[in-house]
Formats: sequence, C-alpha cells, structure tokens
Amino acid sequence: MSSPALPAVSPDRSGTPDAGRRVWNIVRLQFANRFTMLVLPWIIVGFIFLVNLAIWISIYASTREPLDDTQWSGATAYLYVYFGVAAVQAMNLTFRFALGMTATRRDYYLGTVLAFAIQGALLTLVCTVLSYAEDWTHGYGMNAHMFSNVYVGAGPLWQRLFASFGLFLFCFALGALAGSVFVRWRANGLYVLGALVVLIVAAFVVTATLTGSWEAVGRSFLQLGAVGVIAWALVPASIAGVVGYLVLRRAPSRT
Amino acid sequence: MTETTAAVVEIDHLSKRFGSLAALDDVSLTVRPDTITGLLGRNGAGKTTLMQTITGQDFPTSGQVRVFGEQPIENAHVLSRISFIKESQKYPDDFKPKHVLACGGWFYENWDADLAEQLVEDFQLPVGRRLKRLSRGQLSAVGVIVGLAARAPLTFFDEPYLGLDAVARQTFYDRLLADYAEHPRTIVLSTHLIDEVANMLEHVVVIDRGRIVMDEPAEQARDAATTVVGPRGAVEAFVAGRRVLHREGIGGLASVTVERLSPDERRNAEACGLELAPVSLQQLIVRRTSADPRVAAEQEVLS
Repeated sequence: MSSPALPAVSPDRSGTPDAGRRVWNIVRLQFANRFTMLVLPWIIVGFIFLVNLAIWISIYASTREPLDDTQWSGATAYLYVYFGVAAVQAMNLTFRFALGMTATRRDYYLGTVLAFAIQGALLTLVCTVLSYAEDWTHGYGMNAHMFSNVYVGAGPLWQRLFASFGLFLFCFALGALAGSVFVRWRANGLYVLGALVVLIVAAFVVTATLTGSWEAVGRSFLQLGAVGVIAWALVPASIAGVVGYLVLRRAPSRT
Repeated sequence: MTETTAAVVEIDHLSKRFGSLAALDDVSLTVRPDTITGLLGRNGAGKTTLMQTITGQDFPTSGQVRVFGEQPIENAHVLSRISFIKESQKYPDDFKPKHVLACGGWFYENWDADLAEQLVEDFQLPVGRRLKRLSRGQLSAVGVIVGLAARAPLTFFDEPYLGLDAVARQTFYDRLLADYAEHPRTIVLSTHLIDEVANMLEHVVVIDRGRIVMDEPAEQARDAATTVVGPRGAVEAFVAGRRVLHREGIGGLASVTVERLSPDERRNAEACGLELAPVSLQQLIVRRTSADPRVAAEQEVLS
C-alpha cells in the first residue's frame, strides 16, 4: 500500500489460519484415526466378499453351471449403509471434539463434507476397479457378480463412477442430517426427523395410490435406471446437506 | 490492537437460561490480558456455562460477549486464539492420546510439540492407548497437555485435573507457571481446589447461582475478610453494625468473620485485645457462596 498505514481498528488477524487450512484441519481430524476411516471399510468389504465367494463356490461346485442373477446382488449395500452410519457417528463424536479444538461449526461442517467426499471417491474408485475385474474374469469364471451389480457397477465407466459416488454422497447427506439433528436436539430430534421422513414417504404412497399411478411410477423408475434414480436422489441429498448445516450452525456443544 | 491494555474478554449483562433455570444471570465481567484469573464457585454455579458462552460453544439468551474485541460465535479469528480445556471434553471413541496431540499441532498456531512431548513424559501418559481405556487422571492429563502446549493467547482450564493425584497436580501448577512466565498469556482457571491455586491467581472471580459475587484482584481478595477472635462481649461490640460472614463460639469466646477492616480498625481491634486472623480464599468463598439468607438466619439464632 502506498498510503501510510492507518491504526488498526480490528484485532490482529495475521495469526488466523486461512479458511482453506481450517477446513483441511477438519479433514485431517476426520482421518486422524486411519484405522476407522481407511482400514475398517475394506475389512467390511473383504468380509462380505469372502462370504459371497463361499456361497458362489458352494453353488457352483454343486451345479457346475454359471450362476444366475448375481448381477442383482445387493451385497455392496452394506458399504453404503456403513458410509451413512459413519457420517452419523462422525457428527456425534467429532463435533464436540472439533469445537473443543475451537473450530467453527462452519469449518467443521465443510471439512466433514470434504473428508467424506474424499472417502467416498476412494471407495468408488476401488469398487469400480473391482467391477471391471469381475467383468474381465467373467465373474471369477462363475458368472458371479458383487461389484459389477446392475445398480452401481454396470455400463460405461462414467456411469459406474457417477452412480457409486452419487450413492455415497446420498448416504452421507442423510447421515449428516441425522447426525446434525442428533447433535442439536438429541434423541427427540431424531424422533421428529423420523416422523417427518415417514410422513413424506406416506404422502407419496397415498398420492400414488389415490391417483392410481403406481404403474407409471414403476415405469419411470425402470426408464430412469439406476443412474437416473441416483441423479434424482442428489436433489434430496443436497437439501439434506444444506439443512444439516443450518441445523448444526446453531447447535450448542455441551456435555 | 494498538491498545495493549484492552480487555481480552468483555461480558455485558449476559444471561443464559435453560427453561426456568437461570444458569447465568446478568453477568458483567472483564478479563484483562496476560493475567491468571481464577473462576471459582460451587458445582452448578454457572462456571462451565460461562466459559462455554465466552468460547462460542453455547449461545447467550441475552447480553453480549466480546473476545479480542469481537463476538466469538463462529468467528475463526477469535476462536483460533482460544484453547478451552474442559473436564467434560468428549473425544472420538477410537482416538488415542497421540491422535489428540496430532490435532493440537494442526489447530493451534503456537503449538509446541517439544513441550507436549515433555509433558507426556512428566505425566507418564500412555499415548498409544485408547482414550476410553485411560484412567480419569490420565484423561485429565491429555487435556492439561493440550492446554499448555497450545500456548493459545486465551486459555481456559475448566476443572482440568479431576482424578490427578497431588504430585501430578503440582506438576501442572509448576509447568503452567513456568510456561506462563516465558510466554505470558491470558489464562482462566476454574477449580474446586481453591487453596491449591490461591497463590497462582492474580484475579479472582466468584460465581454463585449464575451471579458474579466477587470480582477483584487476588491481592485484595486475600484480605477481603478477617476473623475477629476474643471474649464474646468484646467481639460482639466490635462487630456490631458490620456485615457478618460467619460466627462461631465456644463458651465465653467468640470468633466472628467480617468483611474488610481498614488499618485504623485493625489497630482499634488489637487495642481492645482482640485477635485478628486472616481468612483463606477458600474460607472466604465458602462463606460468601453459602450466604443463603436462611443459613445466615439460623446462625444468628444459634449464636
């Protein structure tokens, strides 16, 4: 600056870490225990895979024929459920710790979203690679599918990446909303949130039944396919993500 | 800031209600920079709520809090200069002390890893054991280490040493004073163990049922009350018209605690053959915060 410096009217801000670093600190906090974040999910996946493998082999050994319909396998659903639960847990456990480290709620929320986005991207990459591995080995020679399922592991590469990552984000957003509600209002908040979700679903069911449009609903789901459904699911996911932040922003950190 | 004498914390008519309970009731308070302030009071008096409100962890019902001249809620400029160590701190389930210390290095600008390491040795803290499996004292040590090594310009210790034995508590006091002398900063210490910390404090704030009942330099607080001992008649004559904090007696002897005496009054008392005994900070606070009107009335009747 060319003009002489004016006396400071606000406190010294030179020591404040910039927003990027503050958010990154939260990401590091979420990953501080590498076991829970980076190892445990693969133990879950590995375990499910081994159980499935045992079933496939036992069927294949007795029939000597390629397996039918395993592309409809929902085995990897556990991974997505784990992801949503991990989000709830993270909110419940790390929120008060992060605030104890005098982080702001805004930095905490952004950092947590980023941490789970990174985590979801990693899981997506590995699941997608494994889905191709199943394709190339013709389902381990048995036409067995776990990662190359019709929901998130079929079609061109972009579809697999998008569907899997989108589904992770959806699960995270719901988990983050539930976690924020729990942090702010404890169990009572979750009861209300649960009731709201039930009401929304019931309203949808009643509307579809009264207007006799179940067939149309079924048809549009089929038309949309997994990728389309997941794309649409990102709308409520985004809403849940924003509402989660608004809820958390006024959450006290008490004992 | 250009003015170095400006208050670090300014609280103006702050109230915090939980339903019908007033946890903080019209609190006004100032914390000056580079001092050690004792925030004292009974359980449930509002100490933790006050600190949680100052650090933006909880929201005031009414009134204003300014820290480093700004309101603290969601204010990274303010919060990044604060460390708040509390007995009730929750940690992620799967964390070990080493994870907490790593976080300390990321979150606190002035974090001193060497000091943290030294303190881990002093407190013999097993850094690789899950926090859930630590004893209460070891868990307290984690907080104490973070609070000291953080070297935050404004540091709160809320009952930091539950479960620490006398040796470990002394280590904490020694380290705190040594580090404070080298790196002056503003420290607010809340504790039950008033006698143990009395000599470290430069300023004393006593809170009782959500209200500030005492807010003065420790030097002044130390002679804020005196116990007058002597023959009952002479003592009663001397204390007549004064505010009595406490009254005891055996046979013809009386021992009455009254508020501050001027040098003239002290000479006067000694001339009457009365003995004057100092009142420890702890006793003073016990007297002040148990000054329930009913209790005082009962004591009047009994004596």
